[in-house]
Amino acid sequence: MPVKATNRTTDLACIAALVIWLASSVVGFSMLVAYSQSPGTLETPPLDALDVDWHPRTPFRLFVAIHPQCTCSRATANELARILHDHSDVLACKVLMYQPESAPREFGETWLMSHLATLPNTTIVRDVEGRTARTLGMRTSGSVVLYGPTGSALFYGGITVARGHEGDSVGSQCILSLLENQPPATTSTDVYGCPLERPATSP
Amino acid sequence: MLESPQTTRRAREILGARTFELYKQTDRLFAVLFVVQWIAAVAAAAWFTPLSWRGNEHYLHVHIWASVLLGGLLAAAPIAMAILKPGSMATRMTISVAQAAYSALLIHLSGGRIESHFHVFGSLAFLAFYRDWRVLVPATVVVASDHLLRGVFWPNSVFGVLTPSLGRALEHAGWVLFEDVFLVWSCIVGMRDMRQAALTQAQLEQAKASTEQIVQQRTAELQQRTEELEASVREAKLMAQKLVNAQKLESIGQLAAGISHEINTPMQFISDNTLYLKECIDRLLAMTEMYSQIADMTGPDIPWSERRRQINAMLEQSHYEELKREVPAALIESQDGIERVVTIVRAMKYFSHPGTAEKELSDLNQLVRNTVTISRNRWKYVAKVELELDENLPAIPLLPAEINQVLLNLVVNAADALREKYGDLERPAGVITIRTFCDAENANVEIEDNGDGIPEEIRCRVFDPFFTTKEVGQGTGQGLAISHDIVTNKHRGQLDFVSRMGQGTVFSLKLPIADCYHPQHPQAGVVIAAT
Repeated sequence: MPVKATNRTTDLACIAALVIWLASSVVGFSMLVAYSQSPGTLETPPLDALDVDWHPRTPFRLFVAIHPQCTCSRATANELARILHDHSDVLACKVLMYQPESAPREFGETWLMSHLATLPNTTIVRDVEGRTARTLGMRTSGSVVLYGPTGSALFYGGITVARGHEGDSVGSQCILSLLENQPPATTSTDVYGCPLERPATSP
Repeated sequence: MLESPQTTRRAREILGARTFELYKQTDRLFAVLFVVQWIAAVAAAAWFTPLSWRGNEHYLHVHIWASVLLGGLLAAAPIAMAILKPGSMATRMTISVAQAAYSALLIHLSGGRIESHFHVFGSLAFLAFYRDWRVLVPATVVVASDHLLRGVFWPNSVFGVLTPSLGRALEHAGWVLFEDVFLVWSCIVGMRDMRQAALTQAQLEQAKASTEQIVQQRTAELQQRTEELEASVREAKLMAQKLVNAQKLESIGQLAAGISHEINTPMQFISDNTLYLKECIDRLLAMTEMYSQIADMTGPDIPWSERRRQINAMLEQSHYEELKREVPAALIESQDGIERVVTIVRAMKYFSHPGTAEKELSDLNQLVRNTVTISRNRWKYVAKVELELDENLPAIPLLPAEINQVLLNLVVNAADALREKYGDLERPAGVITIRTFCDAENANVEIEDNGDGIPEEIRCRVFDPFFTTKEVGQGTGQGLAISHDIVTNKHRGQLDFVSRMGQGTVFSLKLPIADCYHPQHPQAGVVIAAT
């Protein structure tokens, strides 16, 4: 086969390989983004949180459900830190740390929980099997519910744009708006994180 | 320097080679970088998001799979291209796209951390290593497209808002373009510098080639000149040798008349003597015949008194007394004449010898005697020659024919100087003294005349070629120049003179006696050459 024809074949093969590579990459990224953007289970919270024995002095109360091992919830912790940084005078935060019944107490001793413990006006409580969280409609790590001065639920959902993805999010903006007595863009957003309940087959 | 088409073409070649080399090197750097990035992506995923949880159960996080598979996929193509098609535009473009995609992957794996966004800007700067602004385009397009498409169609995924945000997408892309402006400018400047450097090198190469060509041309010319010069030197040496021979022949020629006279004179009286002796012999034969007849007792009876009277008459008639006196004298004189002729002929034979290339041990005194003999007719009317020869003079290694010529020149010059002062006289007033002696290092010959001396103003030119004070036809002016050359160059000796105006001149000839034979201190293995 002439050299020129060989080169042409090689070039065509190269181009084809590059096209395949490009397409595969696009598909891979799409799948990754799709995974990141797949929200967890979220239920409407009760209109008030009278069943929860927590009455801070601040007008706003924020419940946050966290799975201590969930790496995606680090982004939630960071977003929460930003919110509390400027509004801890009006906002108290209660972190409901998921604690499986069968798991040792060390289950919750993670970097994430240590980080959350440093946030201002924040309380961390163990939530065995996520029962308290479930009463507030939170079934996914990273879920939040904001109750206002009147005791009614003003916002619920997630405060990250994707699984473990930091940055501006609709949830954060809504909370900040409410804390500043501004109408939120929405009262609910998707939440991204690990489920707070065992699989159906789990003992 | 002006840019010739050749220089421009060469500069283009150099630039092409250098840019190709730069592209290949940067390709290799990126290949390594992709491996590092892949490892970093897996490490980041393992560090930040190792596991996903569902209640109290966990499983490997999707990010781990993404870092391994998607990270590997993104790295594979540029690495393969860098290996298979290094330096090609396709490789650069693939690397550009992959690097931008890797930024997105790392940002994603790090959870959208602000710090990880610097990877985008770092990657663009790294891509600028190519100094090819076109490479920045795919990366910028990927980044901008990602932000624009997601900003428009999926704003929550990148900006955290639900409504499309074209402005923010443009702002993000704008920052990338902001960096691109400087990077493109640096690429253009860098490429311009490379182009200038290539042009400079091409000019240097051309200058070098031109210089080498000139050097080769000059070398060839120089070689030609050298060959011409060598030929001239050979010719000059040949001419010099011819000149020496010519001068020698001139000397002999000038002496020829005198020598013939010197030979002719003895030959003349030898001839006369021979005729005379023939006559004498006739007379003696006649006397013998008459004696025979007078003594014949068989003929008429003649008395003894008559016979005595006849004998006396015959003796008187034959001038017997004269015969008795003159015949021996004529024989002696003829023998003397023959010896003179033989001496002259022997000296001539010695002089006319072509000479040898190698020095031979020679008797310097004999050379002096030969010279005096040969030149006799030149000095005998103006001077007498006094020889003060050191009989213990060792045999000297020399070229006899050449030294003969030197001695002849000096003697003839001395005779000419005396002729100039005294003219030809019956009883010559001039004296030429030739002495030989030996010191520790040299055998010396001094030829002294009592002429007028050499004027001060011409003493420095005495040994110059073609310098002469003689009239035209009397000399070529080569005698002393050649003599000086023979003594100094061929014998490593010295030829000097001391002259006093009105008193005369002494020429001193010094010849080294190294390896010579001394009769009083003979050295083993040294043989005197025939002289």
